[in-house]
Amino acid sequence: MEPLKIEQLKVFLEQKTGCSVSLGEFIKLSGGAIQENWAVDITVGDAAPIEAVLRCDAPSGVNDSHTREQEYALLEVAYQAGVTVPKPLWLGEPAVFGRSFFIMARAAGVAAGHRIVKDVSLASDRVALTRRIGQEIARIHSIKPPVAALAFLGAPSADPIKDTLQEYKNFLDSHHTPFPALEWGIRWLELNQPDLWPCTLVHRDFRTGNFMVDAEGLTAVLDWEFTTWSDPREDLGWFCAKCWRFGQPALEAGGVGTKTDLLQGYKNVSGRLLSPEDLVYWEVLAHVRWAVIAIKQGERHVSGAEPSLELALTAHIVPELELEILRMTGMQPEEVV
Amino acid sequence: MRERPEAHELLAIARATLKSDILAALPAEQKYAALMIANAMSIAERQYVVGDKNKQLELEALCDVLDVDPVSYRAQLDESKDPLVCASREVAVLIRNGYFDNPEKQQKLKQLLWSSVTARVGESNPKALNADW
Repeated sequence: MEPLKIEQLKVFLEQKTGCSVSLGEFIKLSGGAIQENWAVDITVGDAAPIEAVLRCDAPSGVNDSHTREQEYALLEVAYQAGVTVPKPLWLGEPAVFGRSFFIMARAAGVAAGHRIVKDVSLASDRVALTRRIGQEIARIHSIKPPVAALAFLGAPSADPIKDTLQEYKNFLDSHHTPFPALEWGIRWLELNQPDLWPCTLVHRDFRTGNFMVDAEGLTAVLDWEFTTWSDPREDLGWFCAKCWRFGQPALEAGGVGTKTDLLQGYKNVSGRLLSPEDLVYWEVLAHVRWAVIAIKQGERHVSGAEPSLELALTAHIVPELELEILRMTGMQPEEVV
Repeated sequence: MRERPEAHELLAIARATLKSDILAALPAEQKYAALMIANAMSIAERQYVVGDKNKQLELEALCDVLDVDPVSYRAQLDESKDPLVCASREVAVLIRNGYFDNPEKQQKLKQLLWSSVTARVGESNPKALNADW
């Protein structure tokens, strides 16, 4: 963080709080190509320092997800609904240092999916962790439209799944390479769509890797960039989908626990009891969705827009996602079953 | 004639050297990039070894589903068109329009999708061929 920007931020926070503010060292945290996260301790007046994170757009972020202002609004609404999120502290103004930003409390712990599934010294009571995740998802789903602060999400769709599948079909039509197995997955989803539940807020990227845990358990639900109104079961399917188990396929709930515990936690808060079989449809949807995203990410490299080894390799995840779609939809030939 | 080691053999030894001599010496924040490089090299190596064989088999399976002869299918296409892309698109359209909704019509499609997808998984990430992966 450049000294000039730090000074501008200090002045901004003094105006916001009406107190003197001092800022500690800025340490860049792992983030993405689209956002930057900086750890910083903020002292307001005589109070104890606040361990905080400044989250801002990357200098050249290409982004079709929520803005930082929208993400801050989502954090506020989720925080008020009792979801364990980093407490939103101050929403910035782009004029302060030329990029959108906000400041939130810093959660303790680890988010990396591969570490969480293997290192059981983190959240060592895995049954409790899995139930807690179900509870957190249910609290997100307690937020129902309309919410004035979330007007930017637009009105909920009468059929969000039909809309989503149409979006994928439009994308596949515009793409240079056809994907028949993915097309089969979409057709299967059309033919097998269950009656929809009323739309609630759905996180849409609630998976292992997007929440933090410390030794005691879950400390924060992160990454609210894709949140929208939809059928709440989308979140449960995304969380359980095999592609997000980080090498622990037997632990069907995100590589950390069982579906039974996840759904028990979900019921404790939502009052709704689902069976593991109820999630199959939503897990197929999750694989189709991740496959479409992976094709798009690969294309950012292939098109030359954003040369990146990580994006290039993401394209090579698509076949294994398609294989799982075939397995889940009964398209495995009898001789290999 | 080409000198041995050929492309796939060069990729294999380069990848092995990256993992044995370089990876351990790298700082933690660069290990992930090195592992991605090794992964990219292994995909390239497998695709080199397979050559066009899987694409040819896929075209034959697509033509079987479309009930056309692969040779005549190629012949009737404009030279600028990739037959594999064209035939895949035709099958994708049939799937989308519900042609295979009836399970009785799914047998050939099942064989096509399974064989073409497992072939691509075999190139991109063969570990995923194991259902318990």
